[in-house]
Amino acid sequence: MKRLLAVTLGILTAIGGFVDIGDIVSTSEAGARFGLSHTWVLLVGIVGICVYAEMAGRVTAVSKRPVYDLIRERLGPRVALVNLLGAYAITLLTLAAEIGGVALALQLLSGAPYLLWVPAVALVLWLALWRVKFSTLERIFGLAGLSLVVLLIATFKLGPDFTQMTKIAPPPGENWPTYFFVAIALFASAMTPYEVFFFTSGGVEERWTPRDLTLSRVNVFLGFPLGGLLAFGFLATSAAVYEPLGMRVDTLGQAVLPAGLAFGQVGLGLVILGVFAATFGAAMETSLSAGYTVAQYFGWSWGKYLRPRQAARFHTVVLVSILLAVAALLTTIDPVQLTEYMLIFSAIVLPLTYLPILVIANDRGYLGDKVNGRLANTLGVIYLFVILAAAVAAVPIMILTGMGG
Amino acid sequence: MRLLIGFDLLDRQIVDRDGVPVGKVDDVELSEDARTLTALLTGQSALGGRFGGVLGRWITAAAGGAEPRRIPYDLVAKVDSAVHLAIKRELLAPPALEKWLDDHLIGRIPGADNAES
Amino acid sequence: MRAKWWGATALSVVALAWGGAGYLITKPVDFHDYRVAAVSAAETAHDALTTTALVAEALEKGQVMTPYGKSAFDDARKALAGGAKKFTAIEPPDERCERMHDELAPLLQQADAALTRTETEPHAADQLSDALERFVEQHT
Repeated sequence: MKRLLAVTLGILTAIGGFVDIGDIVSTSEAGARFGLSHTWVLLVGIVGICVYAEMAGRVTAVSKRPVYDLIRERLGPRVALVNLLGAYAITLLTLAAEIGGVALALQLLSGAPYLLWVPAVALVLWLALWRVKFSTLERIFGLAGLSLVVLLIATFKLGPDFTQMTKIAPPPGENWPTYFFVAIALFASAMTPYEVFFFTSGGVEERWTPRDLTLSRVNVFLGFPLGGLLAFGFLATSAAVYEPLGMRVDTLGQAVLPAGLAFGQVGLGLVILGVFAATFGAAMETSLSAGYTVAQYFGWSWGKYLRPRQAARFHTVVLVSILLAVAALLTTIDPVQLTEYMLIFSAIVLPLTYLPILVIANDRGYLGDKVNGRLANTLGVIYLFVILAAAVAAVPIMILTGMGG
Repeated sequence: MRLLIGFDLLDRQIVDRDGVPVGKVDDVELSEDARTLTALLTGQSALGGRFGGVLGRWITAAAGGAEPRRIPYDLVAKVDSAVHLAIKRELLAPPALEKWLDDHLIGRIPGADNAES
Repeated sequence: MRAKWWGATALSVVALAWGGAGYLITKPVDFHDYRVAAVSAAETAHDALTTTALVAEALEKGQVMTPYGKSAFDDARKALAGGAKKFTAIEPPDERCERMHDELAPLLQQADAALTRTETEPHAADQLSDALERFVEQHT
């Protein structure tokens, strides 16, 4: 049992990365408009995040340093500062969106407007990070997020057009630029930078050593494909219900409806529970990541394994980030739209995150004989090109399609 | 032990005897003849000094203008993926910002003394 | 000296961005813009009606909880109102757009009332939905 629970870090990271609020809605939107024709993007994204999370996990287990800590050493303080600003801005806005997402899930259960829930959600989030053990949080939210598996069963009941899975082209009535715009957003959502920061910082919090290399790998190769599979659940159920009706999806309520149509109130309840856990998990992931990146850039003490007083600056950054996120939400900005923008902007900063990881993973000074093998390097370089292409194409395509209109 | 200051020391994490982060090597101090390394400097003002220009002044100002902390090089036990000190970090003066936030904000919240496990 | 260069670069970037944004905002609406706005309003109305119908039917069969139904209906109503407001805020720039306006405006008006009816009778707005879909198909 203990061994089984040891993979919850990977599961939580992946669920928070793949099925956070922005992904839920944009994946469902992709399904509604393009059917299953984006399945390949999810596959490409899963392999990509596995390749880089494996490298990052290996670096952390061997050097006992989280990757963000090493980015400044390899990029130099100036470039790393640009990286820090980009990563922090994205993480903060994602945090705002996730708090909004938890509140939206509560709105679906209670009927009360989500803005009323926002302060309560933020308070509970902060209390959880302040008082509850890291491993407990990981287990509760990682495992509760698994209730989204109901979507995969619903997929078979609702039966979307599975033949589209092998097609890499927009269905009739849609154009290529929009198709690529959605593809970039889905790819960026699979590779969001805060996933690796959180995963490796979590590894340090759990005190990984070189003996935990296998544990790190199991976390990666089990967690991320599972997260990707759950994202596929949203894609496929929306494709089954909404594509034939020729309609678009842009609210959380629409994204979870197919489960209700398949399994009634139980199905709907399970999916909303899963969404709650996934968005709350992502909110924890992003608020901690906000603290991790700033603290690790400046070399401050950080983490939940210390008493809060021993990491006062880290806890201040986390607290201030949560307050900023709440302030952003109270301007009544739509949390769902917020993440859709963030996905595209995160595509732009991806190269700055993943290039240093590839460099460090080849550095014998850190890794000794555990440096990248030929397979990891080949895949790493290929993905670096994919990431660069996505980063370069992101803004022009966004303007060309008017945000995927 | 031969080390390249620019490659092996600058921007590396300093941790104490128990692996708790102390700061980054934001700058170093050399002896008068510039042949030996006498101390590591850590703190935003040291980093700001290295940046120079407007940006450097901002970073220094964000630290409240506190002087960088000076860690004599004798205290360094070994250098690998981090710079390991031979002492516990409580023996060094705490960073000004950390102390201020502890005294005025974090330390005042109930539960600030609870250890994780 | 370097600081000055940085300052100058930053200033010109900001000026360009503002200028660009200002141009886009004040640029007069042409036929293309109007068509895009009309189609998006029609799509929004169609999606709001379809969602309401789906949820209403699911509610009837007991597949979804009442609070869920309520908040899904609210979302649909907000989306419809937002879409219609954006569309009516634009003055049709020429005669072709005038015709498009006269075609869509009544549909949007009906949609408002139809939405409320659909909440209790799932198929009340099927014809209207189809009409909106036809509008979208004709103009894209």
